[in-house]
Amino acid sequence: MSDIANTFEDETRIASFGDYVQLMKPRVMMLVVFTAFAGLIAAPGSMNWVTASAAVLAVALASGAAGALNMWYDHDIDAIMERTVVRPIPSGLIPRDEALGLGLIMSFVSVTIMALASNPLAAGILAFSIFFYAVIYTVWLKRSTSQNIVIGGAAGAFPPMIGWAAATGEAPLNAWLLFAIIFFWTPPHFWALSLWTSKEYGKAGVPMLPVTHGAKNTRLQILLYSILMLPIGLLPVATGLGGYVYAIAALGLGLWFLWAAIRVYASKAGDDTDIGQADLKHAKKLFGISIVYLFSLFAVLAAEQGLGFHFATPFVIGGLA
Amino acid sequence: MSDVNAAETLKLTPAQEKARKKRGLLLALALFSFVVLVFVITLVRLGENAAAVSKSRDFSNPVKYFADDGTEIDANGEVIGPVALEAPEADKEETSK
Repeated sequence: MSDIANTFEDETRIASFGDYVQLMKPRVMMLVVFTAFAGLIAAPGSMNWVTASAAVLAVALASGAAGALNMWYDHDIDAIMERTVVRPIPSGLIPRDEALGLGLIMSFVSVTIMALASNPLAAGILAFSIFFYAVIYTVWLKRSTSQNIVIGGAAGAFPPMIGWAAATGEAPLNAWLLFAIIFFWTPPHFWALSLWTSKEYGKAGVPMLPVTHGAKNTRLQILLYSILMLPIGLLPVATGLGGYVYAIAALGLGLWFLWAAIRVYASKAGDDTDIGQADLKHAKKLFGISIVYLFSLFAVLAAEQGLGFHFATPFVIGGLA
Repeated sequence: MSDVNAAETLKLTPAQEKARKKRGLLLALALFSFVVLVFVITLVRLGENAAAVSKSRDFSNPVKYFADDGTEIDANGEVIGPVALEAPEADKEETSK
């Protein structure tokens, strides 16, 4: 009795509501919800505000579910890395089984809400995106290939397409363009982060690009993807989805992103030298800029369509949309 | 044996009791919110569908039926409209022959 009781009494910290929120990766959830909302607004047609809100809630729950399942599976490597050791499972605040149960129940609830509030297509893509993140990325790709976040990035790219499908019941070219923007944005975003966390990834045995191919190759890959981001970000202008304001924003933000990537490429960021460590500031800056880039791009897109100041440019290619 | 009994009668600390109660309340609230949400979505979707159905049926211009003599009749053949003053064109031709 005394042993068991003492074990409980020794626990000075009890899992709070905030710990459960942390289990759902709230920062990732914000980006996911925002891009899904932007997709919903950018899509043609109108949706009842109640069902639209329910659809956005479903996306948030699905994101939380995927985060909980990710933390359930990655508890061992999270306990090794300094950045993740404070997460609710490795810190012992939330039992693994509880995280698994929460993730599975929330997955079911989110897909059910989406199916009720919108249509089977949106619910189907939502279910697939949870599966993709929790199984394809977390269980399979993350620990097996340096291209883990390139392919796994698809999981984070689905939300605007889900929003579009929820509003229209379809996933046309424009929805795929929004998918492509996030898909090609993910590698430079994550590799910038991994440049300064590569030692931890290496210690945990996660084959991130800087661990397997070195910092120099990672900087080159960041630059190549950033070059690709510029035209991809402008593609919605060619289909007429983005108007003048979007075109200016996509060009400006894309050049800003590219400039930051060039700075990283020209630096020694991630190298195992004093200069390499000092140059990590460029990688950190690119990481921050990448977040601002994505938020701003989707904010402008949603504002153009939602607030009614969308004016098509002469660069629309007929028959594309 | 005594260890098993001890485990079964485990006492939680007041803080743990409070945390468990709070968690139970949050779960109950989440469950209740889910039920309310499903109910509201159902009402909204039903309303949308009902509006779509009524829009597809134009009650201001119902289907009309006519007898051979041009008299308006209902679906059961009962005369509901005015009796035609003139015979239909086809009948006139037959009469003149």
